[in-house]
Amino acid sequence: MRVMILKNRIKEFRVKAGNITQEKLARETGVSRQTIVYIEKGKFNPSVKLAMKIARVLNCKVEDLFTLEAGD
Amino acid sequence: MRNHMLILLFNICVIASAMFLALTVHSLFAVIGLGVFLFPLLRMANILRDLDERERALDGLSAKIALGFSMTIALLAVALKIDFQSRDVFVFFLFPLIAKASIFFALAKPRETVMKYVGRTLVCLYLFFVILSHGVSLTTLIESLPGLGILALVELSIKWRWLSTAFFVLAVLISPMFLENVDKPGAFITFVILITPMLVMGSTFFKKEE
Repeated sequence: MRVMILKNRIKEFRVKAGNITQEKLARETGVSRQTIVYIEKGKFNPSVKLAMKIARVLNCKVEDLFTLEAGD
Repeated sequence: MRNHMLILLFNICVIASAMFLALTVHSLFAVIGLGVFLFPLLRMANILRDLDERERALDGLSAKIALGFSMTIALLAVALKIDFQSRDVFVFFLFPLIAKASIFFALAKPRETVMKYVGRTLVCLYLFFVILSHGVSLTTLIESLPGLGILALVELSIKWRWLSTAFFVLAVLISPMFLENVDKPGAFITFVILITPMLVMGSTFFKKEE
């Protein structure tokens, strides 16, 4: 079975949304800054609820923010 | 709803056990009962925020690891035929709590926070036991010195990452002192309670910056 990995463009959208800092994004979504760091690095997959919260703060769609790609 | 019921049942069990132990073994066990209210009160006062989903996952993972460690320690105590008295059973409450909290911090928090919380708590715990053993006396002052030395090392390690490795060295240096008398409950308890946070603090050297 092929492994699927969740890629994200949070960093890119943070810049687009007016240079929102990780700290501010964390505060607005109710998580710790470390959690945002881990999501950006792809080390932690957020729940649907958190993904939607992040998308709302960054003013974009969840599908734009996260994409499922085939891994190695 | 089911989770809330389970948490309520667990809290009632902890309070009942703490009351029983406080009445039959030592009054200090009442502190464990009060511990049930500590985190909800801190959250109510906005001092502590709720754990987010990543932290909750790590909280569960650290609990499993701590359970594994606690079982290993319990098996070790059985294998060494340590003659535990009823007043020594607090170690089986205290060790899982210390192990779980230390592992959680090591997994979930940045290096500086791990050093601050684990290190300072370890020193406070050490000083608490010293005061408990000798009261306010010159012996207390003398026995507090190693604790103050560790506190200085903790504060310096926050600034210089490489200094965290000193905790591994310290763990190796102090181990023989306890291992000589490891079959005695007091030495065994002090050994496991002191060494666990030290190893956690030493391991922060390998933690990547975020």
